[in-house]
Amino acid sequence: MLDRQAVNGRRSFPMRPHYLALVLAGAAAFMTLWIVQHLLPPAQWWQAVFHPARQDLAQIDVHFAVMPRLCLALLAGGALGLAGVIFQQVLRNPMAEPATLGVSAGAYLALSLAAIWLPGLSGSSRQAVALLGAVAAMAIVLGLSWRKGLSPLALILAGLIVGLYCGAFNTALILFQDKLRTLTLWGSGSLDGQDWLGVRDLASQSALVVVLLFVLRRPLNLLGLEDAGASSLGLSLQRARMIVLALAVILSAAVVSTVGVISFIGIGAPMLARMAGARTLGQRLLWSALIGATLLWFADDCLQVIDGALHVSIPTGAAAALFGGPILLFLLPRMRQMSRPVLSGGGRGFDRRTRAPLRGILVLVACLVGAVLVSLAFGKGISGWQWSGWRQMQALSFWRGPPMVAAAAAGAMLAVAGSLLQRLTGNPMASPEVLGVSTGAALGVIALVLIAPGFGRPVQILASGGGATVALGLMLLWGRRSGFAPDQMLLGGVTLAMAFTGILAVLLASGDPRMIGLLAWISGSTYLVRWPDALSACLIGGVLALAVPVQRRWLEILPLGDGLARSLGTPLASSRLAILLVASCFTGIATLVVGPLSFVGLMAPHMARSFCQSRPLPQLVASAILGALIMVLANWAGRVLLFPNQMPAGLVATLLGGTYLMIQLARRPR
Amino acid sequence: MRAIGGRQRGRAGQVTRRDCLAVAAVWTVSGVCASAAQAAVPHRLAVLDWGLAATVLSLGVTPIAVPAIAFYDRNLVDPVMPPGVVDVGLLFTPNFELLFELAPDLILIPPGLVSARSALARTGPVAVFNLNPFGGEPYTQARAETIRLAGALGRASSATALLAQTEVRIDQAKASLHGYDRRPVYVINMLDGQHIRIFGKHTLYQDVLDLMGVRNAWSRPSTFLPVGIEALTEVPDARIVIVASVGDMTTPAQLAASPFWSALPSVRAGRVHRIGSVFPMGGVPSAARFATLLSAALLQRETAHA
Repeated sequence: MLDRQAVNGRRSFPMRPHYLALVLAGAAAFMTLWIVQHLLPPAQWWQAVFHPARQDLAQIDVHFAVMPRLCLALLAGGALGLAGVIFQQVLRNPMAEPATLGVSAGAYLALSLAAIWLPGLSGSSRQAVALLGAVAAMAIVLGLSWRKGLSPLALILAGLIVGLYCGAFNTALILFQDKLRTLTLWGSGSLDGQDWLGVRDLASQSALVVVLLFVLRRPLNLLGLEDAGASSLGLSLQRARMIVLALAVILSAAVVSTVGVISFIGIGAPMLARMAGARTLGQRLLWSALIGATLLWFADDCLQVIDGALHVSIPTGAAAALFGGPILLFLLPRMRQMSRPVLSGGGRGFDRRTRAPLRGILVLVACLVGAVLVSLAFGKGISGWQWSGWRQMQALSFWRGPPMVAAAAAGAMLAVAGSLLQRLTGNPMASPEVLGVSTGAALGVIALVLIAPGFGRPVQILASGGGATVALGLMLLWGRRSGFAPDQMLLGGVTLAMAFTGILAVLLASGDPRMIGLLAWISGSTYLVRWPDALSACLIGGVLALAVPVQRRWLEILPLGDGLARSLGTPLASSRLAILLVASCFTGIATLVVGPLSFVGLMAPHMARSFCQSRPLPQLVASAILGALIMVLANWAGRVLLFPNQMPAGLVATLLGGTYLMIQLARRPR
Repeated sequence: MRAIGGRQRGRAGQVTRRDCLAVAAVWTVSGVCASAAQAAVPHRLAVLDWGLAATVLSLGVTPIAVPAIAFYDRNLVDPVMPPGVVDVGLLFTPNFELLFELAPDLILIPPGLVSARSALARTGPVAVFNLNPFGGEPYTQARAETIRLAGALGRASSATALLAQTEVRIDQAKASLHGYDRRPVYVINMLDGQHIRIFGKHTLYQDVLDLMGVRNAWSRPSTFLPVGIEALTEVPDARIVIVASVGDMTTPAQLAASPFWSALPSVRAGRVHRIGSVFPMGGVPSAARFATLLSAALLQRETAHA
């Protein structure tokens, strides 16, 4: 208690949760009134809301579009805020949110499949499909982490894998099925054009969950403790976790099935509530729900004003991060560090074998050599499958060599960057794209595609390099104030990435054919890589790798926590900056060559742990080889599986690696 | 010259043919147009854009390779892609190895593929054609590019015929509308019942509407971005022409059940017309197709109302 008060007293940003909620609500209400007043004179408001005249378009608009949209914004925002707190409490990770356990990705994938097989699906049956997908994804996640006692780390890993897997599958479908592009509108959460039916469904489902949550408030409170603490207080961890998670999943699935995927609120609202001073679980639930509701209302109103001015229709889900993100980024450096997850404390993800590290690494190298040979010599042509002889291989190596080398180099670099970041932050969910580097690079390329369509490869590299540098510069400038505190860098990066995903969704939904080419690049394509790119990536990567062994002491100490690190004489800010810079350079180079891809950077470090001991250097080496191996295989599979169509290597890496990891997770008992 | 060197290292059986092609390559790359055309008329064409593919077919040439043919069939419909054309993969990632094996003697690409130009040049000579200028007049541009393209293929007379024929079709469409009530039209793609894509200035549709003397109700430049259906309220007495598109997730019954859609003045008065798929970036053949389909749709309703 004393400690908590001390924390409160030292906060440099005096704020109460209700200030924030009131400010947001006030701004949103003002904009709503402004919008409605443009549509309809105030005298008719009452009639329009309750008994609209069927012939009056403005009244119909207010009754069937504006009002349901407002109610849905409030309901969805509140539900997501609530669900976010529960996920963060149960998984004990400030980065957890509804998407972490694959709920939204599962719903999205189910809808895509339904659109292919059952076209013309509408209203409630569409909702049912989305709900089914969400629940199925959740069931798989629970099944995969069941044997590990549903420990937070196992749940997070399983959730991330299932989520990425569903996401990659969906992107692959969109690449090949042009009709699914319309679905990206839903996939980025559109609140407009809904009717009262959606409001009724969402309201009743949320109310049910809130009642159940009230009943379960005691176990929920205990789940925030370490496992041992919670068990000693007489809690059946596994059962409690499953029930509470199921509630949160139902809540987020209700939102997803009604209005689509809305990112950021689930992670941003709980964070804002916390920063504004909500401490106990009850306070956090209440204020996170209220802040979530008003935040989404506010974001949606901003969007309507912009839509009206520009005559476009931007999905709300995409905009939540765009308008909410800056608020979070502004407040984050002004608060004290929050409780941080401990890498080892969350239970086991993949079991570690205490194999001799050298043997594990040798096995991996052998696999890599095999993969390289297959990738160069085995392929498909007009006449079907063929092994190429030496001479043929020489001719074909112009096409097959550079993508393979680039894929290997990028895979290795991202895996190392991911390992560095996971060690630096002590968070198993950290992956290279949270540095903002890939986001910046991708934005640079998008801007280029939109502004000057006919460009060559060098210009593209220049644009993405410029974008990456600017983004990194901004992130570092922003993180300087907090001494590059890991949690803040992570949350800031995640917010950026979510805002970017929003922009991407809007562009994809536009149906502009150029965007499909862009989607391929964004999914990690080695398509355009030729020898100069591939070789320079290897060269720069090799030079950068020299900087890693120098940092190995820091890499061992930093995950142990700030206090210990400081007492061992580690300069916190400068060591963090050094690691961040190296990781960013790796990520930047990899992104320039093959585009932003997240799977390898996120998962290769975890896979490396199952091959080697978890000392920094062996783990880094194993991660690098694993990253290269996954990408070489993915590059080859992407080339031949759907011949003549080519799948982006990044997508295939997620599908292949995801399958492998799911088997690993499910198979080995504790 | 690097391209030729690379080819000589190719498979033994194809060396001689490839060498001949390489000579043609130098010719066509150095100047696709008039002067070289008579000397070596390319006839193994890889066409890496659907609008260009439709144009080439309309000129009476069958390409050997086109990307994502299933997409072409769904979206462009007319002219029909003959069987036997090789599918070379997705639009913006054509399969290099397959193209290399096919050894086309001319590869036609849109500006969007320029970033892959140097790699493509290794599989055959490359020429860039742009049917869809940004902020320009697509129909005028498509006509100019069709003439340039026909020159490169040694088919100048086919181009003259195609353009004349298209003009006749548009004129016929215009003439058939002489009794039309002059209401402006919205030309849209339906997306999901709440969102539409709406076509305005600087689109192929706009150019054809202008030629047919039909006013576009949407006077703004069109973006590819989706727009809410409330945009259709701005000109209440307009007609709504829904161009079929594969992205349409709705059925007419679903639309009819939507309160907002049903409340639109044009919808209440039954002024909604559906026409088949026309590719908005499909060049001259798509312009003719649009004119014919549009006039038929407007005319049918006119007689039905009369």
